[in-house]
Amino acid sequence: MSQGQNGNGRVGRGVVATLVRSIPMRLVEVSRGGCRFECSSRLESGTHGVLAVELAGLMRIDDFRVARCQLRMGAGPLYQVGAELLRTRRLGRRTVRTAVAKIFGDGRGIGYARGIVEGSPAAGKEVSGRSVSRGPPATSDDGF
Amino acid sequence: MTILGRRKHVRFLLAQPVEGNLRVRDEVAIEERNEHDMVILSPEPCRVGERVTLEIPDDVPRGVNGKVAECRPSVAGDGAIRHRIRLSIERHGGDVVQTGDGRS
Repeated sequence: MSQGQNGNGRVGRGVVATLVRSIPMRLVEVSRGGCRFECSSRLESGTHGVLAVELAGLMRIDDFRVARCQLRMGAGPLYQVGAELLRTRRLGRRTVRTAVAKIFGDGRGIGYARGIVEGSPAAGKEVSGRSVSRGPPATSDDGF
Repeated sequence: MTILGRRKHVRFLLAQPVEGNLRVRDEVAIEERNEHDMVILSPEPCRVGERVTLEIPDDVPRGVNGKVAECRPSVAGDGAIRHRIRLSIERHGGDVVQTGDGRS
């Protein structure tokens, strides 16, 4: 604990550390390549981290990178974040990407997916999370 | 054939949003530290009262759990805006073997 530190508690320049923040969020929209969620902290574009969410009774974890972050008007300090799901992890059964593919189908020719999200912690019991699929838009900036 | 910059996958709007958690890391500079609190310079602000973990790359990497007591903007030497954050230390964690991807 004494690395680069002098007697009065000041630490010399160049002592770096990693600040780990845990931010609660609400997943609003998902696809195999990205997601949209709401959180109370502003996240810079390019910020990356780990997303953990419980889908179908399993905790799913995936790496993400923020593509855009916008303040949701009229909702207080609530930000809508579009994020890309990074393919840095092996596509195991505990990834969000697998969950999306499994629960909602892989999007091949499914116009209206009746995805049932079970065991969501939001309700604390089985949830009938009906999901409406949205086709890819005609134009978009990046990823999501 | 996919076009760069275009969405490729069908999106699903959850009728009922699902609660989850994000874990975000930032590289910060430690300015001061003692037994009870610590002052760091961060590129991102934190809310007062927010609980965070600071991973310190010492000989033995360790984690320090803290609570944000104060957060003020500050201009760094290179003109960039940083945030000076005072953390009140809650607990010195054990050895941290986090690999940066949550697979600790």
